[in-house]
Amino acid sequence: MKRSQMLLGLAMAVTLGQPALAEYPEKPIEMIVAFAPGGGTDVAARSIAMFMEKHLGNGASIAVINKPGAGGEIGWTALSTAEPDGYTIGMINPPSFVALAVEGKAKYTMEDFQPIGNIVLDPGILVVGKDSPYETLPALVEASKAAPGAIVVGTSGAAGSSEHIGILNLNRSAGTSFTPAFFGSTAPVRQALLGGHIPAATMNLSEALPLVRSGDIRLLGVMSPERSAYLPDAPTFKEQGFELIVTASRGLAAPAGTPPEMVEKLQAALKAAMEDPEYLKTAQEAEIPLAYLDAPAYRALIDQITGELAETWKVTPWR
Amino acid sequence: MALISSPSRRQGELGFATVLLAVAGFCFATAGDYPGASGTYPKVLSVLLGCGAVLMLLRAWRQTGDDSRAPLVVNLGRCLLGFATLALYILAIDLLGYILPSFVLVVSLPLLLGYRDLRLAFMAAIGGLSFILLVFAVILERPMPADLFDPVLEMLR
Amino acid sequence: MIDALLSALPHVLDPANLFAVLLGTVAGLLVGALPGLTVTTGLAVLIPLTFGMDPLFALGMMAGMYNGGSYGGAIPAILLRVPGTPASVATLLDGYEMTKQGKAAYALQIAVVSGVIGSALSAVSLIVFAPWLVKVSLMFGPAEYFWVALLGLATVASLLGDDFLKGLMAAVIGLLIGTMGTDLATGTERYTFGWLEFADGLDIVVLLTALFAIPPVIQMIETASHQGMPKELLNLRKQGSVLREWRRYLPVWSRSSVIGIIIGILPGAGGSMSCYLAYNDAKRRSPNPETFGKGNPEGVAASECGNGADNAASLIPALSLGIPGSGVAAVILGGLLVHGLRPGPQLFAEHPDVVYGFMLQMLISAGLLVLVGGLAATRIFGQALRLPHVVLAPLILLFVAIGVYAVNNAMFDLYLLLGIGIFAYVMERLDYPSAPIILGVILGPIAESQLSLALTISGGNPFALVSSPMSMIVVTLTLFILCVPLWGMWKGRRSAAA
Repeated sequence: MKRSQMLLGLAMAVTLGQPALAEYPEKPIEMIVAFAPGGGTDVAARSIAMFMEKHLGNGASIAVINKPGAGGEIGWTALSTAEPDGYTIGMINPPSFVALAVEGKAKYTMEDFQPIGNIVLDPGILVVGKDSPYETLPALVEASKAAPGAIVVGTSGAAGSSEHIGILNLNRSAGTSFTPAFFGSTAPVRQALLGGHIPAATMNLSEALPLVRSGDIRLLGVMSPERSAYLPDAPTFKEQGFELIVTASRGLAAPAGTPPEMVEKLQAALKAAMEDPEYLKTAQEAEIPLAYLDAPAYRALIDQITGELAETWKVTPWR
Repeated sequence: MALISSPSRRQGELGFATVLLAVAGFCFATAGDYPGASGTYPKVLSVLLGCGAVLMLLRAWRQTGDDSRAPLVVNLGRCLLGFATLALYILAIDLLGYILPSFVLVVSLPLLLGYRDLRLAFMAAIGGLSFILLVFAVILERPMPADLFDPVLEMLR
Repeated sequence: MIDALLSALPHVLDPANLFAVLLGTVAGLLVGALPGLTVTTGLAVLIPLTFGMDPLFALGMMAGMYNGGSYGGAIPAILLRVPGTPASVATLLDGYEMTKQGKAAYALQIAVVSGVIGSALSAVSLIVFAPWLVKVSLMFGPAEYFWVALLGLATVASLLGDDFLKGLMAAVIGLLIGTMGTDLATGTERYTFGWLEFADGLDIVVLLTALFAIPPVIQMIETASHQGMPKELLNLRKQGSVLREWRRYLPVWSRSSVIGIIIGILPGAGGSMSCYLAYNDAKRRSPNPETFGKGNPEGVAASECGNGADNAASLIPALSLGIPGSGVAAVILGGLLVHGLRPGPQLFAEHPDVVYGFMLQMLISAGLLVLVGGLAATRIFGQALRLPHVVLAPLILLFVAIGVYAVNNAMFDLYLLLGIGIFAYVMERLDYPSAPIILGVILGPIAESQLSLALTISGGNPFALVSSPMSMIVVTLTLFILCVPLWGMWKGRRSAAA
């Protein structure tokens, strides 16, 4: 692989005389990942990068650069201030990516980014243990109303994560008073739920599929507008009468000001990569909830999330 | 080299304990701004550290004998040279990238310390650097600090 | 189960798959031995490359990398006092002392043999006891974790060194450093001074390198010796064989393995805690505990055996429940997913040949470690020690600098290395021990966040902390660890007075 890249590099050097844009990309593209190597976002980034290289053509190479820290803020700030020359792109994870800007903590705003496309939409879910007395979502909601603050909901995030904001929104709209408990990552919250140490928990759908199917945990509601293809039997919050939509997205963005032709080329490569049979097969086996959105649609989604979060922040600040 | 002499061990103990006491005081004061249990825990720790530092101060104050008068640093000149080199090296990495400063460091530090076998130092520098570049830059494709030789590195990848 | 093992065996012994295990083991050794590179990094780069390959080829590489990497950290810790991972700190305490006494080869041999014994027992426990062990791991909730963290902190007693006060102060400094960064429960940022880089606290690898690697490098520059270590001190044959002295190490190995396996199945407790607990246990049991930290090979044996035993065991909750017990296990889970293997209770039923094949590969890679890790690694890595100290010192700085940079790809960490390095040098000169700092930094945040979680869940009732039988067991163990040395000291004083 290295050798072929070197040969391609030589070939590129020979044709350097022609207009620059036709050759894009003519050097390695850096993809900033705001999380450490080995995490879910990192693996997703490395997989999509591999297939995007293939579909960008021109001997393109995409190097994944991990800039972890501060819940993603370091990496996203680096992306927002990068040179908009098309050679720096990055993975973004709304809504936490948006929440940092809404609460005014981050140095970037949504205007600093040019979305390229969405890759994954993973809805949040509310689950209880298999021996839980609560069979349905309304039953759990009633129990919470009857005993204010007594029902603890474990979340895999920290204070201010999308799941935490989801619980706050539910408390506000349904009149419940769930107490959030912050476990920091998915593994411990899953363990605490399975071991019966907490009555209920929120997590992302894709993380819970096998445990829900095996009956070890009971899914009370999916926080998406429609049911998931991977679990068609699981009811949404909406159809049970609760307006709650929390969806974790993973997508690509470039710094604002990146030439539109390049964004278009990247968007096309992303689309082609996500339609690549080999990629699709792997993603389906891993049951990754792929959802391609093009740049305008992704921008619209981010704007919508921003609006909702800004509203929540005014009423119930999460920090 | 003998222009500045190393502080004695006792002076070192006293100085370090004073620094720790100051750190403890600072941490305690800063923790006052943190709400609830977020602040209590570091406050307790600061108090513990402060008490420890005071005990150390008392102990070092009463300490006499040859041991306490012994110099803290064996060779202060070379010790300072060591830290100055490290500081310069890091600054140079920031400015020039990793490759050139690393090479200069491995070749020049032995020279400064009176070692004259340049061939060995040279070989160590080349060997160490190529191993690092092979593993970090080529095989694992880890990003390197922005480097003078970036174009060369790109060829390798 | 036996059927599944037998049907998996031919796939595992397929030459291509065996080669994958070997390749993974060597690569693991390498990333483990280089500071700043971790098995997690290695695997993250590897996983996308295994798309479309036979699952056992990919898993074999992962198994090899896991075991190789966990031993690899011991090599620079023993030879150069540069701990590659937090887990190698306990190894370094006696291992580097042995190197100074000219027993580097012997120390490495003990490390590899003990690590292999731990990994092998752990792999066996993964194959045989997984269904039972997973039930044990579920008995641990936030309250129990809080006590486990305190149990780990209690082992500080064995790391204090000769000066009690200084050791305790170091531990408190560690705990205080552990409070840096965002508090999970409230989102408050503590001691970050507005720097984003501090929002997750001090990075443990940066701290480790600064505390342990910088002081000896400066000391090498100070003494400016133009000589390296004489060749005969590196000769393996003249230093005896660990296997022939198995009687001496058997008790340490068996107890450390059990400790490593139990800590391994607890998600989030992490490999470094099993090393500290195993080290503490070996020192406590030894007839001459005062020789620990001064080059006692049993210290190396305990730490590395506990470290190795942690590996396969941490995969037990990962494979059977999808709950990774460590960062590495989390990445391996990701790798399984890529190959369409969804961890969870149904995994063992749906893909027995792959699951049991992977377990066998964990066992095989442990065996391969003896071959590649023992002799070969000693011969190659040991050569570094023969370099004159004036050349070795800058060479170590080269590796330290790129390693520290690679952690977060940030220059910030290098400047931090300089600052903490100066602090560490002064501490070392004044005989403050460094190991308690690391213990505090690792376990302090776990104790704090789990306590706060346990109290949130119980609605603020402190009695909930000791309500479960498991909590009571761990509390008793903690008290035992704390009180036994005190009682021994009291008895010693009385007999001295009499």
